[in-house]
Amino acid sequence: MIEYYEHIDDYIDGRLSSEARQAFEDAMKTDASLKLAVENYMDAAKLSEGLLEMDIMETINNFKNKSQEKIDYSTSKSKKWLWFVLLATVLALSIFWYINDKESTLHQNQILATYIRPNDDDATKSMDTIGMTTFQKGKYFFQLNRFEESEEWLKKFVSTEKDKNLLSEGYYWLGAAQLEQWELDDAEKAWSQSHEAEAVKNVKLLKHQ
Amino acid sequence: MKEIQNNVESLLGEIRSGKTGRDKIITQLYSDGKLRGSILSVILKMGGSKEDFDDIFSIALMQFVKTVMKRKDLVINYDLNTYITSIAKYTLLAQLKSKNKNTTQLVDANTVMTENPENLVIKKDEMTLLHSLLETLGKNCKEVLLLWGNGYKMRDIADIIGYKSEEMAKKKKYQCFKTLLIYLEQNPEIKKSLR
Repeated sequence: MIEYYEHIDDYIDGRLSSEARQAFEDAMKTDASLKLAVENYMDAAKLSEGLLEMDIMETINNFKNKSQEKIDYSTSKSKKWLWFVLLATVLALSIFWYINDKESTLHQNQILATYIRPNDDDATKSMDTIGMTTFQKGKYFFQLNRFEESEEWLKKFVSTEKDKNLLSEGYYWLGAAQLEQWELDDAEKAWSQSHEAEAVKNVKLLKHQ
Repeated sequence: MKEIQNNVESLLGEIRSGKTGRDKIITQLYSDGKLRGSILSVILKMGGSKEDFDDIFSIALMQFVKTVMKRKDLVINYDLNTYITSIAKYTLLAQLKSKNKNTTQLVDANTVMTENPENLVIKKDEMTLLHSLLETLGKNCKEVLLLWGNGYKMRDIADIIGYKSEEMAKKKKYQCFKTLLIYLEQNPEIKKSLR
């Protein structure tokens, strides 16, 4: 017996021979569910295409929730017992991480998932650093992913700058350059001296990592 | 991100290789600080706000992955960061247009636009509505239909999911397609929203 459902694609795409097409149409006359299947084919195909979008969104949300849960648990003050559980877990995990791999990829990803890297498109407009200020040099090397050099220049900048706002911005970039090199303590210290919203958020993030 | 950008071809291959590879790349890109920074910078430059970031970034990633999966001959001429950021620009422009905002002055001369990315067929608010569908279908059916719906051939589907033959993948697809049709019949509101 022919399973007509298996030929819906061919019928819709016009790939059936004239005899097979006639047989398919005859089958539709007696099989209401087959007729319905043909009528709903386009919707089902569209929904199948959309399954990919739903799957991607699910992956993003799961990852986001995992990262968020970690921060939420750390910042919850009302549930004291959670603190004890968390403290014990963090302690155990810290020892585990220390012994195994202090800088595990998952751990990094969780922090990097909520960290937004500073960006200044103008920083790399010039081909070289001639005539640049120390701050511009710091940003220039950062944009080129040369974080060690960036850190060096940014440190020079914050050690001499007097303007409070520029200083705050400088510490923000310095913290980012240090995070990129996974110097977490230094990054936290630098960001603590900045009042940029992102820096404040990042300090919170690192304190609870 | 450095190593990802150095190997765009293998990254595209990994996205096309099935759910495990796809998820791995999605989470890598989602947690990429440089990518997040350049997308945020674009959003702010174009008059959007930090609150728009999550939405735009998620949509841009969805469009990127979908474009990679649907266009097997896709060639990316820029580095990946620029490519995804340009999709985000495209997404934001579309949103601003739908809000009737004047967008002509927002596209500056330096804007790199890719050819249009694949459009999304499911609206954000429909996703919650469709949650029950995922439970109805189950893991394997979802992947078979998802690949079929995005232009994969039965032979490729069999390879990716690990069925012994193309015939077996075909059988599975029809079984799953039947389940999907029944679901649509039982949920006319979804059928309506798709049209």
